[in-house]
Amino acid sequence: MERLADWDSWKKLGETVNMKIRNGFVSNSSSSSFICEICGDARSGWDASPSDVDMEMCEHYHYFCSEHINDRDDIIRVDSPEFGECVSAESCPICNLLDIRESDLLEYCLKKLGTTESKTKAEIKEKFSNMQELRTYLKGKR
Amino acid sequence: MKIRNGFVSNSSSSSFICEICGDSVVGYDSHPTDLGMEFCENGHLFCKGHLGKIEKEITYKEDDCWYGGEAVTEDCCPVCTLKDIDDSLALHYYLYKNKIKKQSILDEMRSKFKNLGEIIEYLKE
Repeated sequence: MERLADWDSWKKLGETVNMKIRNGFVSNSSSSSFICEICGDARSGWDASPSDVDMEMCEHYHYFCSEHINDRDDIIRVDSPEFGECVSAESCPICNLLDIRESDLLEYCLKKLGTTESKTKAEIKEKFSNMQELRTYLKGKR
Repeated sequence: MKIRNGFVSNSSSSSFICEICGDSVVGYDSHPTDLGMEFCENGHLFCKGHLGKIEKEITYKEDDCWYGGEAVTEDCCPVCTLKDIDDSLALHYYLYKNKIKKQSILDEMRSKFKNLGEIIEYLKE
């Protein structure tokens, strides 16, 4: 597998979309939440690193629960200058498309259809007045 | 709404994740409102600031979910009223409207691209 290029894009993606971390609401202590980008599970800890709460981070800043890696013996790890040891892109289920996030799926679909996220959401708002109507439509009960 | 409790013994920690912006807050033995979050009568959890999009007075009702306390009524919830639509919902709408199966799109993406970097490059084009 090729090494993934365009580090800045990855980093930006990690900072703006995927990596949701909030630190420190207790003085003299630092709390961190880590959210799995695959299943959405959240784990938190005081002064915790991802590995302290059974999470992994890949070299492209994707966070996921340890159990999403099938064979832990085969994990390739690399040293990140900022975060120390992390999972390589080759072993990351998000980087190598074993798990495709819904946000990526949506972007792909929208591009394929030649539309945008904002247009789609505006269309939903125009057609439905509340969540219940939308859910009924999606269940095919109309 | 994804919540995981209790990683420290003798104490109960909870993470609350905003369903709109994805921000998360953590507290010990905390109620969402202690941490600047609100929840609606249908169980949507979000940062209090998102109520600013509701152009009327916010109303509450007693709720019997495990949080307990006052829940925002559904007519004032930014998720229930579609003020904020998350990607997952937009995706389901898109797939349903175009009669596409999610698995077929996943298979297509995996056959066209070797890794996420290639998808990102494609999306940038």
